[in-house]
Amino acid sequence: MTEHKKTGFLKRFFFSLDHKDIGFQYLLTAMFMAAFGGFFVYVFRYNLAFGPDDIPLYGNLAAKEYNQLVTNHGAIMIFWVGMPMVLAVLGNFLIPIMIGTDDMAFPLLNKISYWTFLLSCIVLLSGFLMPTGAFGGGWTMYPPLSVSDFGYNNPNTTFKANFFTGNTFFLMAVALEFISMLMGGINFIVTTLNKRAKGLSLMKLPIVVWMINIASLLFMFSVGPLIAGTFMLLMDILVGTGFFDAYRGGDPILWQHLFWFFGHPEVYVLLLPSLGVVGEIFSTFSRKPFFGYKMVIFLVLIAGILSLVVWAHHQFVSGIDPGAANIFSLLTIIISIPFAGMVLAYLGTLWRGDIKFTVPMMFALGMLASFTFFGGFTGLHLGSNVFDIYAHDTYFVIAHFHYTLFPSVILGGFAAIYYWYPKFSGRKLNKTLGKIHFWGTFIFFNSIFIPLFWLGLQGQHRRIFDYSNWDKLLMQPNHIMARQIATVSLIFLIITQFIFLFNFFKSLYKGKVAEKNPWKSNTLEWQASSPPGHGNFALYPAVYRWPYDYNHPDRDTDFLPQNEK
Amino acid sequence: MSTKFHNEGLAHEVEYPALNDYHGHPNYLKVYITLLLLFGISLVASYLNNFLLMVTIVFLVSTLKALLVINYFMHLKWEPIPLQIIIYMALFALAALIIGVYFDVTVVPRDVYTP
Amino acid sequence: MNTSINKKPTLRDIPQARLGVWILIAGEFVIFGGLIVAYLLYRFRYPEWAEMASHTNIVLGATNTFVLLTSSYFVVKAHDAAIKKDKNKITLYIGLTILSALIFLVVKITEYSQKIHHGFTFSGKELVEQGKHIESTYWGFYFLMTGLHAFHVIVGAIVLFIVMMGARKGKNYQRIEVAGLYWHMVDLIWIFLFPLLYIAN
Repeated sequence: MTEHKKTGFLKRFFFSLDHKDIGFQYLLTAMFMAAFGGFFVYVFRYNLAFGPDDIPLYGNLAAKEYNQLVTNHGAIMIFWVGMPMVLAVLGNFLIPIMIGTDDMAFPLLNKISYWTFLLSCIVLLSGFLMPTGAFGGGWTMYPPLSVSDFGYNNPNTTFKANFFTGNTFFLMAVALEFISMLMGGINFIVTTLNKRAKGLSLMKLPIVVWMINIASLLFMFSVGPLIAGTFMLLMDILVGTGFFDAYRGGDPILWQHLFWFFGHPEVYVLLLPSLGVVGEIFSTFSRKPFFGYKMVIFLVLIAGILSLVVWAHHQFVSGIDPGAANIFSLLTIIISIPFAGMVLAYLGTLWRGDIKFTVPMMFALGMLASFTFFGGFTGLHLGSNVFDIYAHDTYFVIAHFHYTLFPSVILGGFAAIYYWYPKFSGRKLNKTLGKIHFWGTFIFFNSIFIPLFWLGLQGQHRRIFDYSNWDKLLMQPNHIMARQIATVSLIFLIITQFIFLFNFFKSLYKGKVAEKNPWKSNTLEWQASSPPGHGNFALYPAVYRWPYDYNHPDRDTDFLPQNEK
Repeated sequence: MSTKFHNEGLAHEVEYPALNDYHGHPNYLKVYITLLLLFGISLVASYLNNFLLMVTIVFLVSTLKALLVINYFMHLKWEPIPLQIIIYMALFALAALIIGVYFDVTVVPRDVYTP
Repeated sequence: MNTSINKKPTLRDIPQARLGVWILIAGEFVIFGGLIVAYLLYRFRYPEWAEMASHTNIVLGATNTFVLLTSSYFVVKAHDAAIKKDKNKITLYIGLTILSALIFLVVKITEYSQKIHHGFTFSGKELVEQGKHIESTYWGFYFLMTGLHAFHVIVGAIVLFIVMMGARKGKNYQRIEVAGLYWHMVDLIWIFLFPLLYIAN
């Protein structure tokens, strides 16, 4: 064990180059941003259920503010909560320690990546202080709506006036976030390829490390055109070029293509690491070898490649070429095959296992169940352009979208936190509070979005501030009732998270001290002390086997760590 | 630090250029002269009157030049296969993008857009 | 010297920095590729952009291509010198590369000032006023693509300078290869920008 000096708060949380500290910084920042995202959704859901006046903790809500809050809720939850939570936190904390090395390949780059991320948070939030208010044109930033007030229709505005607007700040924040995650992704890939422990071949890597790396690669290949597009859109706002101005030969549809070329792989960037976490947890708590390890990796690679060619299913109602829409529809349905294979492999891991219902296992099961049954199956329907044209602008899409991303980011993220908390803090979380937290989160999450599916099929349109003009259609008692059920569930969901926060921060100081390997798991991180000191391992482990040798016939114990001969 | 390892040093700690000077050393001057020749061809081709022929030649030549630079100057030819796959995946992504977008941005009746 | 020349290395034999720069290069390809894709799609759609492309100065463009190709050659020679730890040759070749970068930038600035003088600006407002609103976007692409590329040239030159100073003190020779890779990427991107913007009109 290397001697680990206690360092001051600023030194640990601002200047430390240690990968575990940087992971923790990402986690805290993501929680901080999640508080904003959660507050925004509370305000505008309250408005939809009970009207815009006298919202507790907020006041009266104007239509323009509604747009701003919805836009920023979407952007924050995806880019500033989802990306750091499943990619940066898991990648930073897990990769070096799971491959048995001391730190990232480039610790300084890692730190710069976090600082850039922090800067992007500040830039995004300072958009609310601008004279024009925050950006309110939807998190997808479609031109001409995102530019029209400044570049296209108003040729006389100055650079300075266009710079200090919510739109500019929003775009800059998004670009900074992408660059930060690119730097992080380079770090993850290089670390995994180059710094593996002796004997740890690629086919012996834990599934979560594979998933994080494939997600980083996918992110890198898909985000480039959008970074280029972001520059173009920024120039449209600031300088008055016409890249997306139809009058000047630009094409707004091009932006949608650039955006969704990134936007669709992004869904898998958020999903894959979380599926990896679920795989680790399933194998550990079923006490069974991971079923179909090579097949899952192969399927993920196929899904990754396919995910680069399905993006236009987000644009079926944007006026894209109908022939191309059919092809994209077909490809979208094909992409469900690898995911179905993966879910089957996961069920194969559970099959006849000695399942232990610990808190991380409950979250993992909840994640896979809600993702598959609601997110995945409705995705098949929406992937078909025939149905999508009817459902696209309704709450059906919102519910589908949240059923894919909420399980992968929030449920998968909580599963990871509960599973690796003993390793990362050296203490245990309270089990009872954890179970209450799980049931609260799971039940209220479902009771938010199942009503929204129904409302969507009833024809409730997205992006509407006030439904009172659709008297006959959407103001029937059962419609109002469904909206109120969703909103009240949301409030309870948010309240449930305070249980988690209390549990998380109290256990950091007062929790039961955790042993080295509390879950009796095989992967390398459980061979380091809890919490791992600077440099992780007293002696670098050498690896002799794959990570899922549970209940090996030659052994008395039901687990067999990777570094045992 | 060194006492921590019970394997003999991780690869990244080996000092340059002892272990990693394994890639070939092509005759750089030859490559450079070939590049200049190709560059000359593309300049001459730009005076052709047949637009399609000219564009084909010019872009074939550019691709050849890029392949020479990436394989010999940057030694990609000697890098491990997974790394080569990662680099060429970038081109696959771009090809997918341009094919997917072609029908919506390029093949559109123009009077729909221009005022 | 290791005997295993020409034997394919495994992923673990590669120095981290080189692997990192390769991944970075793949990322940069996609960023520039996105711009090029957008430009190509518009270019196919608007035949009138050909007339705009004929206003680019092919002589200056060709000069810059030649300069960058030559600098690429200097960089590999510097890499060769780095393997032999020959400080004088390293200084010579990297110095020549940085000189090429400066020539490139001077030519670029000349070109920009010519264009702006003729009323072809980034925002394209002058052309819109003349009623050529479709053509005006061509110059947006021209300035954005070459400008972003020039930014990479500046960054590459600074990195090369830092690396050269390090090598003169006799340390971090391996950095020359890494900085060289980055420089080759700058050259690679120019290889495609030149025919796109200057030749195909």
